[in-house]
Amino acid sequence: MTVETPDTTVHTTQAPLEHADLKRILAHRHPILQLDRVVEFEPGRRIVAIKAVTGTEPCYGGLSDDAVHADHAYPASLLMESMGQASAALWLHSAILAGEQPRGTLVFGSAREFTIEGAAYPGDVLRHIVELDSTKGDNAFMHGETWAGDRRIVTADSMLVALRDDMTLT
Amino acid sequence: MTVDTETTDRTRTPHSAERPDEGRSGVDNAGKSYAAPIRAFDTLDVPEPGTAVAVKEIVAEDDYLSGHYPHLTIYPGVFTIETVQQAARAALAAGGIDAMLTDVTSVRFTGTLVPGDTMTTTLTIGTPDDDGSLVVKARCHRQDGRNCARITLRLRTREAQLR
Repeated sequence: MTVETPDTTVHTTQAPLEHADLKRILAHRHPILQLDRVVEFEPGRRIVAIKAVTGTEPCYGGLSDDAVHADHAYPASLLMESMGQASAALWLHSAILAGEQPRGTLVFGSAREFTIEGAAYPGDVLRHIVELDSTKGDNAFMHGETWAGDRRIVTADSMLVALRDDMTLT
Repeated sequence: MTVDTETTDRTRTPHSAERPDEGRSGVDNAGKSYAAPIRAFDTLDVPEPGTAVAVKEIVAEDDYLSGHYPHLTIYPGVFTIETVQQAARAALAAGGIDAMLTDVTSVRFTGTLVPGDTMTTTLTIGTPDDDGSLVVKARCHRQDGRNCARITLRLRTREAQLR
């Protein structure tokens, strides 16, 4: 019997930010850490982050057997959370690379025209492409798109993410 | 008309229709008719067509909340959007309309929700236009009266999406 030695080359090539790195940048944890990996990163400008959708996620738990394919569309709220986290990772990791130490709890401030053009289903890999528009103190403005394979499924005209001191959260 | 877990039997909502007595958010989410992160409202009142009032108690045991965040549990902003879309879909379903979210037109968060808080959401629900699209406007406030969010969504009937 011949046992081939597996070629591990592709598995040892690290993406710009692996899951462990994301946990150092974001306070989100399982199961709401909605990013798996960052595959492209341009500090202060642009991020490409991926998230694999799977039927084992809690949002698919308890789904009725009568549910048809369309009922398995990945929830818009989780799509938005995932893109929001890509936005936050772009902003915060850029700040860290610039020697800053971002402090506070991350909150979603506002969003405008988050348009769902298509749906993602278990087995799809989401690809968020987010660009930083501006930062103002503890606030950052971004816009972006989400792709599932070669289908663009979301466009977001504007998202505001912010850091807030725990003591001043109201 | 009051739509709660016991009367949503045939409406399209993630709420459990079979075991309403276990109906605490997240603890029992069996029987969901579409994928959803949590059961995002506890009760839904539809005083007249086109309006609805949804109430959601924030509980730390809800799915996903343990990771948001480990040091301080906060009801995620996107779950407030989930509350509005689930409430809108349930209210529409009670009127025989099956609609799905297509656009978060605008959302602005102005108050934090933590376990123990109760969020009351007042919705104004439009009627489908020729394209099957309709607008939902919502204001969310906390038990102490503080505004938590203003949200405008667009939904589209599934019938229109299929044609």
